[in-house]
Amino acid sequence: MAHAAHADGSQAHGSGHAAGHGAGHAHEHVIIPMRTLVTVLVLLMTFTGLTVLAANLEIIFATIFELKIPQYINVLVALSIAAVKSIIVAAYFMQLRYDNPLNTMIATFTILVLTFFLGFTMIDLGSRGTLYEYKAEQVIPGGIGGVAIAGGVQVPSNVSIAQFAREQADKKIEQMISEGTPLPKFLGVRLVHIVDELLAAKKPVPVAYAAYLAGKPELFKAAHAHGKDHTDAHGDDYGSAHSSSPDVSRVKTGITLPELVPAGAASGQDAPGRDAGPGTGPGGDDPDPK
Amino acid sequence: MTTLPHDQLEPANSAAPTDGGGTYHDRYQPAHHFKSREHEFDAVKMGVWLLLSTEILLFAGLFVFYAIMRMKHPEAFVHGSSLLDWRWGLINTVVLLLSSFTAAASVRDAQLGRQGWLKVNLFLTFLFGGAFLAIKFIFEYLPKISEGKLPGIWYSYPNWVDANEPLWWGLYWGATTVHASHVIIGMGLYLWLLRRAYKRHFGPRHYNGVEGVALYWHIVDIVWIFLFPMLYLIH
Repeated sequence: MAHAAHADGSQAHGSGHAAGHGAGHAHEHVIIPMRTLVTVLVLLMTFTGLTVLAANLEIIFATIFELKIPQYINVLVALSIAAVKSIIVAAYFMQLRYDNPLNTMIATFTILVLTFFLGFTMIDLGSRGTLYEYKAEQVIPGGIGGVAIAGGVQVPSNVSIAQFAREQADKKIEQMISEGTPLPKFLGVRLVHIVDELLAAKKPVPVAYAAYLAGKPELFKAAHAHGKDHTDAHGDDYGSAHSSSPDVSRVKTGITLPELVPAGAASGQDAPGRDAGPGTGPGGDDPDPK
Repeated sequence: MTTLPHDQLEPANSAAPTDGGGTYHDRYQPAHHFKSREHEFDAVKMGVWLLLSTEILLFAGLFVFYAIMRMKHPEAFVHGSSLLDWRWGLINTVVLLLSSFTAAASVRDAQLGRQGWLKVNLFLTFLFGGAFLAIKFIFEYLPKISEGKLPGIWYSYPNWVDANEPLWWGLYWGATTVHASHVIIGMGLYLWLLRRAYKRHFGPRHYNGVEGVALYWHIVDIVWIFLFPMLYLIH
């Protein structure tokens, strides 16, 4: 290629051309060599691997050496790698390195504005507690009740959307089990949690529930593996923070089925067992009445 | 480093195909309010960068939302994040990085007048964008929809640990769908470029379109570079 020969391997000599075209045209159109593009791609892939590795290594180290690695380290490492990757993309793929400096100024100014947004928000959030501590009482965790959710269903005003979701799921589980319909996996996991909560509260478990869970060890596995991946790494951070959450009251050890199912109940004749179950009275389906 | 000849020079590019009296990009004249092609090129590129800065500020809103909610409800975010599979996020990151590479390569092809490779790289970028959306939709969105891991009033997933998890799903869906809509727009732009490439609109003397769309595509990639660790890798 004719023009490929004359300037290979050297930067654009902007000043030399500026004399001919005036100060406004000091830059040239750079054709980035294929080798540079491939190098950039390989670098980006490496950094992607690195960020995944860092996140997973952190969990492994924390588990093996029983370290408590603070959360901000995880965030700092991940975002630093992301920043390096973005700078590489902007400098080479987006050609800012070879470009009119005005474009770099626009980009830098935008990033500056972004840090203002984040910085002032953090100053506000960080100091808000001292001023408005009392306002925390007004917050309903999990969304505001008293709204009509998707499907036109009305959420009671004293119940959050998240809590309402759980109550609706519990009702659905009860209905599906009484109809004999198999539950989708995530509802099966919820059923294990319901049983856990009942056991933790030392209440009898409905026989139909136990009968449904019999022979489905994978549900127990899924339910009890669930909160584990982070409680392992940062164990103590969570236990206390979750005092209000149903996850804490959960029985962590695996439940053996025989102790759940009263003798003879699993084989037929589950009607009396259901009547004996708690929370099946009129309107009292919530297994967790607090 | 190779450079393109200036406006005053004729493209000394023997590989550039010509259709008798010269192709579209050979005959290309800037709009009448520009002094030269160079002037027009600079103006177009700066205009694209101004658009990109507004895009950064659009996503800045989502990043600030993330920072606030993460500070206020760390448990909800950590558990919510554990419900995502980082492997799909990783695959999609790789797909987008590859698409950024082909986008950068398409600019190079236009600069060198390689019409065949230009079409290949434009099409590959389009395909990678489609693959990103397909993976996201089939392996991430559909299972979440069926389990009720949805934002706000659509939320119906019972197995939460922290009652504020609907906020997490609000952020997840807000950020990823705004990002996915940018991918869809970018794919549309690449189809448009492909159509123009078949008409031989781009060459060493005129490639403003390829350059501008590639810049846009890279910023979409950069946004995902940040979204991936923020959504999938925190714990």
